[in-house]
Amino acid sequence: MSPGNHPEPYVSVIIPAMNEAGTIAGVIAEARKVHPRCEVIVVVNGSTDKTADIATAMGAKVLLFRQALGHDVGRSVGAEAAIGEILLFTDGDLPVTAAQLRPFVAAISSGADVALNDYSGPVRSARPHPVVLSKHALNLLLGRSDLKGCTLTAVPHALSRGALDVLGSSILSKPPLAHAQAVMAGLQVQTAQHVPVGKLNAVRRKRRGIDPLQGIVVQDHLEALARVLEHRGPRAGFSDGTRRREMVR
Amino acid sequence: MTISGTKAASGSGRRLSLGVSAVSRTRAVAGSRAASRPAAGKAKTAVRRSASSRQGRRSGAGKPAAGRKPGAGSPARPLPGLKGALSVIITARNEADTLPGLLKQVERLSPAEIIVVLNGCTDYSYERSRLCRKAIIVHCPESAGHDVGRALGAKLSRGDILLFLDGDMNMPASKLAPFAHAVDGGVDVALNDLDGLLPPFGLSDNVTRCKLYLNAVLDRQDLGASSLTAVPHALSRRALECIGCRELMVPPKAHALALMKGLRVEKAGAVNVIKHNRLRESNTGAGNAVEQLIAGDHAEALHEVLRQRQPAVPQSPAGQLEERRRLAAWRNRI
Repeated sequence: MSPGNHPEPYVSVIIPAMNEAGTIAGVIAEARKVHPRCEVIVVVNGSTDKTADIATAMGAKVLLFRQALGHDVGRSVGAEAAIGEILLFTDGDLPVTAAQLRPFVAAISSGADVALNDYSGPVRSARPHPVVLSKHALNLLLGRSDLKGCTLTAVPHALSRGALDVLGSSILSKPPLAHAQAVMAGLQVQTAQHVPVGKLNAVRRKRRGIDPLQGIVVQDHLEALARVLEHRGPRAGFSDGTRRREMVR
Repeated sequence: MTISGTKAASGSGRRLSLGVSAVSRTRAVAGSRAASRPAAGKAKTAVRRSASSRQGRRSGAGKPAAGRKPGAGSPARPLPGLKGALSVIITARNEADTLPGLLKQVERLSPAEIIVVLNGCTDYSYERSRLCRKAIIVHCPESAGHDVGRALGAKLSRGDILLFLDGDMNMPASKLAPFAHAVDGGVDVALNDLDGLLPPFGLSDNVTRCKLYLNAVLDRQDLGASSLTAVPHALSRRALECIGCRELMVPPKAHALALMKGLRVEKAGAVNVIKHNRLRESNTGAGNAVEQLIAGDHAEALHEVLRQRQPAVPQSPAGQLEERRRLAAWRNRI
């Protein structure tokens, strides 16, 4: 039997899960090993299997929703319930080890506000997947091309309590928006560890060969970009050089 | 700014000033007929058009294969096989070495007019350009900024087909002709196809990434990284009127406008500009000034796209959440 959650946790691990009875035990076990003072929060939503039972039996705090919450909404719900100083986000279907998770906690401990998965998606072809392109473009227009395609969209990632206070928990349901907001708020955003989630992610249903989620993710990035342009102006804060626009009308 | 040209049709040695205040140092180009505006006392800007035919002198260089007679270069005369009149617009910054060669190649296209916009040139670009008797030269000693020259040149042009080039490229006429021909055949925006030159995305530069993204957002992934940002490209007169001359100074925005207005935008030729581009301090290295400027240009383009797309009735947060919930359930076969 697992020891259960620490009463005064330093790290809160947030795990959204939807019918992950097959993987959830392993995910919780690894999460527990991340820090001695740890709480594990499993946001079980739209599940018809034993995910909630397993999580409860392992001493996790289980937030149970009969209906599916929607993509990434579990992150907001989990963050709302978390009491730790560091919030570590992962996923119920993601078999990552404690060793892969600790660097995210370490980065926040050393002063970062947002510790990202150093994962940019497949970039070998000349023309990448629209989602990969969107992530790179968002960072580029945020003036953070050094982050490549690493954003809050991918788990695992970690936030400081301070970052959560600045961002608020509800925005975490729209990771690109949260990401843009974090950078624009001047939070210290950095990559912490490479976890190849592309290989680890479960294969999902597709419509005509395209994951229907793709449209939403691309749209979310555009929305984030709109926010950037709203805050920083139509040129996103980039210089116009020596252009004398008045020369032509 | 000085506009100097050699045109058979225009008055000889005429020197006209644009209505420009020398005090404010703002220089306005009012339009292609700007030259006929009355002189303003202190203006620094001048238009000079001297007749070339009266001298009957030929440079010999760039003699078209068709063997045109001296002085026969009527501005409206189209290139054989080209229905419309071609205006070639060349922008240059200190390109004295490459301009003469480029102008020779351009003359081989038998354009109706050649407009050379010299932007902040401190070398012999002006003198060398003047060796091409057909060229109308717009000389802005003080830099007008990036790509403002394209807008200036477009404003002065009169042709049906506008071919945009950069003075730093040395390019055979045969490589330039496809862009003009595409527009002559009905394309509104004929782009340079850069896709054969693209490295793996992980190694691509920020400018390429911006271009790919803008095309993707506009649902034209087929255009790859091809964009009005790169030369050579050609525009139809209709495209110019739709987009507006002024917008050409921010090429990605002009590109986005062209696509959003439903103009026919196609790849028309493949010229290796990466190979031919001159390397300057400002355009080399990651995060260089030009890269930053072009990122800002793409931001402006995307700003325009988002502005035009704003739905009349935006989806409510509750509606959005419901859509996401249903999608999550579907993906997990619930």
